[in-house]
Amino acid sequence: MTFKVLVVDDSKLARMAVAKVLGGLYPDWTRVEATNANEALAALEEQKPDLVVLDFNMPGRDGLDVAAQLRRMRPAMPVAVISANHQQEIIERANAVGATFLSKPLTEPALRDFLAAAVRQIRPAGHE
Amino acid sequence: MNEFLEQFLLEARDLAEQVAADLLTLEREPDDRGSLDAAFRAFHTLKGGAAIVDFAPMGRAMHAAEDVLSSVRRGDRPVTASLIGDCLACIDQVVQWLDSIEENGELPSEADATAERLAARFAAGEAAIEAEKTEAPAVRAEAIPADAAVAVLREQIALLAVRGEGLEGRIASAGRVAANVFRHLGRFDIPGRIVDAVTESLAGPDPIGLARAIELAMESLGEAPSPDPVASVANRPDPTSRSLRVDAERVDALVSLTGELTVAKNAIGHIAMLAQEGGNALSTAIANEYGKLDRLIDGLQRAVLELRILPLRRVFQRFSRIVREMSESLAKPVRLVIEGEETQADKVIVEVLFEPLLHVMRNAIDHGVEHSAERAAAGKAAIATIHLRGRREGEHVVVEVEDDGRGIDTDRLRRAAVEHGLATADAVTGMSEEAALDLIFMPGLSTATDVTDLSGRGVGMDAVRASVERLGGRVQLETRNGTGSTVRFVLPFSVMMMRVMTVEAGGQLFGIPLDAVIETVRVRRDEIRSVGHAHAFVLRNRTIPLIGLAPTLGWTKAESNSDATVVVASSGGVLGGLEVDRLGARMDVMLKPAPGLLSGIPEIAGTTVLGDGGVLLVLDIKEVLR
Repeated sequence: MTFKVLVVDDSKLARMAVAKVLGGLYPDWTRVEATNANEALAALEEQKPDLVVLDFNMPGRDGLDVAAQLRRMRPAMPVAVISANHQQEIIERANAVGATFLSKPLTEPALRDFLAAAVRQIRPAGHE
Repeated sequence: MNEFLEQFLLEARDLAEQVAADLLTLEREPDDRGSLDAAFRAFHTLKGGAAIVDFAPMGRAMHAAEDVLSSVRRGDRPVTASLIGDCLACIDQVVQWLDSIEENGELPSEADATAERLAARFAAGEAAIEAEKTEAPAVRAEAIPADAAVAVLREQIALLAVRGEGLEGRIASAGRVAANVFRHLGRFDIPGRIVDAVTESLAGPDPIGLARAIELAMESLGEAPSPDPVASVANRPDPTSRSLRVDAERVDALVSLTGELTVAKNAIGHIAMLAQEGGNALSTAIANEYGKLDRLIDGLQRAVLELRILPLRRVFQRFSRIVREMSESLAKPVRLVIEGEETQADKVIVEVLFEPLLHVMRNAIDHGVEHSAERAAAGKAAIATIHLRGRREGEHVVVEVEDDGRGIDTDRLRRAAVEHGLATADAVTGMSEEAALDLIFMPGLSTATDVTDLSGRGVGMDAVRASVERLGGRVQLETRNGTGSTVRFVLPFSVMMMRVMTVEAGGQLFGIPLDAVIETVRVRRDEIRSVGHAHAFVLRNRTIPLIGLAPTLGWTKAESNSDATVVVASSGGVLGGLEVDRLGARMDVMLKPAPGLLSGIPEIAGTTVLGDGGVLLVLDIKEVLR
């Protein structure tokens, strides 16, 4: 079973880094990319991703606000917020909106844990 | 280099440029929340990028900068010149690292110590602020007693209550005054909110919002600063960019292809002309079609060259900071006024412009601008003004640096030229002012009586002229005794096209850049004098050396007794006559570096293929006249 992951980050370098780790873990999954909040919301409608990996540091908008909005729109969709600032406050806020906090740069074990949990979460929701 | 490192270079360069601009804006407008947030974000992204490519020292330096800006955002630290300076130093270092990565294809190995130094610099700045906070709170409070501050704030609220014309002006001014008062009171957390309120009130325009914000802030004066960084999230809109990033090499390839297409078009032009001499219907049709092709390809070439166009901002922007540093290190207050930074020019020009401009700027501040005492004695403003201007004039881009300093002392130039053995005392006394001023461009001339850190780095105005001329431009110099000087670069808009005049000598076709051609004359054989082995002739009372073009370049020249056909050309102030066999047409050519054997001949600047398949050798007049 393959999934579609939406990667949101305005830095292409950061998206490449996520893609590399993701490709190593699940080479057959589909990846769609967005560079800002508006693109992410549009991709959510058009591409119907199964999960989202979102940068905290977004131009003009707080990544956690975007995460909260995505969660409201698709309550069952797993969302990870990645940030290079490993601050307790950010981690707590991420948890508060039901998103998983991942620290930047993204490491394989961290993403693997998130994806494994996400797969378990999505499966009962009717995916085959 | 791996693709990650390549992408890192691209992004980090953009970010470094953006953050420098944001920091400079922030220095001018310490309340500009948008610039503060953008700079903070950029440092953060740089840190993230450094982590991805495994460049830990840079990550540490970026983290230190990010921390400092973060405390500014919280209102714990004011924006000071030294804080901006530290952040800019950090960015300069990033650019140096990027250059090194670009050059070597790998991360710099000895970045640790540098990163530590940068971090320490930030820590020292922080310690100074802490000391100030604990030691001298009373002083700050005394500067504007709390009552007086409250009175000033009340005045602003009263001002906002007035209805009628000039409302926007009053909102802006009341906001500015209020923000300053709070800053004087040591409440760096408040101005951000005031600025937000100003923006909101201006949108109406409705002064109530701002008045309310000032009142609220006054009420909070008794309390401790509230740690609420989330209150005003960045309100800068998403930069919805319509630009497309294309690899510079691809653009260059397109430019080169277009050049070849132009050459092919010229070939068809030649055929069309031959056909027309035959005079049938088909030839007219070919000529017509050629006319269309000519227009289309001209259009294409213009469009392709536009791809490589950049605003002068790219190079101008760097000077805000450089002038600031020069002004500090020489203890001469200087204000830089940048005009026309949106003027566009070919990427090649924009990239090469920095060095010569830097030298001119250095000269202006170091030699042109007087020390405060001297300025005061001359009745001049204490702060010197330097204008850095860019503008488009037809096919040229003009860049000039104008200072309001003492001007250039031509007598000193004359003396220096004699002292350095560049000219005889007799020669310099007979010189016109204009010619004496031109001495500044002689290699090896420096008039600085005291060598300072800034100037005297072995790059003189001769190097400035050389690099501008290499771009196909020229340098103009004006000086007004006691009131300043202007150095002007007149550059081609695009470096690709060169207008040449073709001449034939020794059976070979040469191109002489039209910029260098003064006039063409016929000289009778008996008017040519021998001066030793050399020849010269007199044109309007001026003796001009005559150079046989073909023999100079090693081609044999047919002896002739008829009048000599001479092209009078000049470069870098040197005048000479080139004897040729025949004059040809004028044309636009796309210059390419001289291939193989020809590349060793300094007199040949490059080559271009002609319509009939022949090769045109384009001359470097400066070398020919040397």
